[in-house]
Amino acid sequence: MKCTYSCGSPEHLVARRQFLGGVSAGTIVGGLGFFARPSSAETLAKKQMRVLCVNMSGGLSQLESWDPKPGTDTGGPFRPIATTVPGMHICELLPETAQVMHHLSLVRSINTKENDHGKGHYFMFTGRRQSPAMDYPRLGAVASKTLVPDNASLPGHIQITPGGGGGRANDAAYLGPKYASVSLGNGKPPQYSTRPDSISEAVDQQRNQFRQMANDRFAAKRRTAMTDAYTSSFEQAQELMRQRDVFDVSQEPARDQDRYGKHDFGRHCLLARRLLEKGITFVQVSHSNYDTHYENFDFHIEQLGEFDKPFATLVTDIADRGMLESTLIVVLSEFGRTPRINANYGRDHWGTAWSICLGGARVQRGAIIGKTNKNGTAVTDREVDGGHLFHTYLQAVGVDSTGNFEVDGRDLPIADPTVAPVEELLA
Amino acid sequence: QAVVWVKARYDQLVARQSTLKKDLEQEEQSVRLAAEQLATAQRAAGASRDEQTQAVRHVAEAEQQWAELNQRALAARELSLAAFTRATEEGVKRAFIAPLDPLTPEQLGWSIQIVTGIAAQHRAAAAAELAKKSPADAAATEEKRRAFERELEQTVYQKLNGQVRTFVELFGHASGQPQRDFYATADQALFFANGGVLQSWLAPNGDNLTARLSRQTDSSQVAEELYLSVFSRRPSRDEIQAVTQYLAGRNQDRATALQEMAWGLITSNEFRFQ
Repeated sequence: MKCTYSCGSPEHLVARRQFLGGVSAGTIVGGLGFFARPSSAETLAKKQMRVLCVNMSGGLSQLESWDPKPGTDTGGPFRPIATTVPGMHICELLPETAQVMHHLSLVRSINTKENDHGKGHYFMFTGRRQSPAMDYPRLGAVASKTLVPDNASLPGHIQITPGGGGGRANDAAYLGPKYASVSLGNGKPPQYSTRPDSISEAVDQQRNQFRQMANDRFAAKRRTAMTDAYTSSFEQAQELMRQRDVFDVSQEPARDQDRYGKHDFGRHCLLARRLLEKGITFVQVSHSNYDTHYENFDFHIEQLGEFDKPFATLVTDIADRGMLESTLIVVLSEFGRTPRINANYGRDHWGTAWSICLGGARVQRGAIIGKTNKNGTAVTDREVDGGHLFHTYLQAVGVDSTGNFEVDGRDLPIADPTVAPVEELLA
Repeated sequence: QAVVWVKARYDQLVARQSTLKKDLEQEEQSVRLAAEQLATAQRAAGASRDEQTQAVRHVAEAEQQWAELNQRALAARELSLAAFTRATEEGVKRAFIAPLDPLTPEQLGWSIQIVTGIAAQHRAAAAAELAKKSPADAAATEEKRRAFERELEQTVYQKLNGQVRTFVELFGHASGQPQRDFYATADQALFFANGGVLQSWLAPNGDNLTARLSRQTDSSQVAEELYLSVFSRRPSRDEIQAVTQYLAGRNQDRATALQEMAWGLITSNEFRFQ
C-alpha cells in the first residue's frame, strides 16, 4: 500500500498499519484492525443486514406472553389464544401479535440462572456473564462493527430511550467509542445535531472553508492517518446533519402515525421502522416496566396492551416492505417471572425457565424451540442461555460468531467460544 | 495792566510749550522703543522660520531613513520566513520532526479555554474575589504571596475543570478501556460545530480572543494576534494574506467573521495535534 504521507521516504512505502482496503476514514487508528477472517466483509457487503431489538425492561412474564400454562397452579387467569402458526399458542393479552407469529419464532427453554436485573441484562445483551475482569461489547456494538461499512455517515447503533438521551453510552467496551450507542431520547435527534440559531448556514460554510484552508496548509507538511480521520469526522458530521430528517418521526405519513398509536411506544416503533428503512443497522426500542412484583396480571394487561398493537404493526410493516429477509427481530428481557404467584398477586424474578421471541433474517419462521414442564418451573428440553442466543443472533444476520475481533494485536472472540448457536432455529 | 496780562499769557504759553515738548519727547522715546521691539521681533521670527525649515528637512530625512529600515526589516523577515520554511521542509523530508501526537481530552479542553481567553477571565475574576476576601495577602510577604498564588491556581483549576469534563466524555475512550488510541467520530465534530460551549467561548466578551481581535483595525495585526494566540507562532505571508482576504468584504459583520476564523483555527489539524 502506497503511503502518501509526510516524507515519502522508502521506509513509508511499506504498509505499517493495517487498513481495511486503503485508508479508512473515521476509524480508530492504531489499535483495532480488521476481522481475523477478512472474507466475511465481502459476503456481508452484498446485503445490508439489520437488527431490531425490543427490550422489555424489567422482566416480561413468560407465562403471560410466550409460554402460557393454562389450568395449572401457576398459570394465572389468562387463557391462551391460537396464533397464525398451527400448534403455537400465546397469551390472550397479545391478540395482534398472534396474527404475525408466522413471521416469528419462540425459544421457550432459556435458563440463564440469573435473577438480577443488571446481570441478567448484561448476559442477554453481551452473551457473557458479567464479571469484574472484563467488559464485553453489547449486541448493538458488535452488530454495528460487523455489519456497518466503515464510511457510513449515520451511526450504526441506535437506542430509542423513553427519555433523557444525548451523550455517548458506554456499551462498546473494547470495540471503541465509534460503535457505542447513540441515544435518541424519546425520539429526539442525536445530541448536537441541530445547528443553533445563532449560526446560519452561510456562517457555517465559511468557517469550514477557513478550517479547510488551514488544514490544507498544514497537510502540505504534516499529513497522517490521524489528521485524515479528524478531518473526515467533520465531513461525517455534516453528512449526518444533512440527513437529520431520518430521526424525525413526524415525517412519516399521518396514517402510519395513527396505526402505530400516538403514545410513546407507538411513536418509537414507527421511528424504529423509519430508521431501519433508512439503513441503520441496529435499532433498540425499550418498553417498560415489566418488573411486576405486585399486581402482575393487571400490569401485564396494561403493558402488553400498549405493546401489542405497535409491535404487531411493526412486524407486519417490516414483512410487507420486504425487509424481513434482512432484518432480525428480537424481543427479549432480562429474565422471566416466577411461576409461583406471590402474596401481592405478583411474580418475582425468574431466570430458570423463560422465553424470548425472535424472527426475521435467517431465523426459521413459526418455530418453537425448547419446552418447559407442565407448570413452567423447569426446562425439560433444549436448555439454552444468553450465550447460545447471542451466537444465534449473530449467525442469523450472517456474521460468523465463531470468529475473532483483533483488538490491540490480540484476538478476542466475538461471542463466547464455549457455547454454540441454536442451530435448529437457523434456516 | 495790559502788559501784565500779556506777560501772564506769555508765561502760560511758554509753560504749555515745555509740557508739549516733554510729551513729544516721551512719544518719540516710546516710538523708538516700539521700533526696537519690532526689530527684535522680526529677527526672532526670521530665526524661528529658519529653525522650522531645518526641522522639516530633518523630519524628511528621518522619514526616508525609517522607510529604508522598514524595507530592510521586511526583506529580512521574508528571508527568515523563507529560510524557516525551507528548513522545516528539509527536516520533514528527512523525518526530523516528532510524530504527531493528538491532544488528550483534558489537554484539548484546557487549551481551548486558554486560547479563547476564558482562562484569563476566570483568573482575573478569581484574583479579584480572593483579593476582596483577604486584601492584606495580595501584597504582603513573599510567603503570603505564594499562598495567594496557590489558592488562585486552585480556584481557577476548579472553575475550568467543570467544562473539561464534557471534553473527557466526548474525546476520551470508555471507562475501563485503554485510552491510547486516537479516534474521531461525528459526534465530536458535531459538538464543535453546534455545541453551545465553544460558541459561548468564542462570542466576544470582555477581554477574550474575539473581543481583542475586534479591537484591532489592521488585518495583518488581526492575523498576528490570532495566530499567536491560537498556535503560539507568527503567521506566514500566505496566512496573513488569507486573513486579509477573509476580512475584506466583511465590514458589516466583522465580529462574526472573526469568530468564524477563530473557530476554523481551533478545529483545524494543527490545533488538534501537537
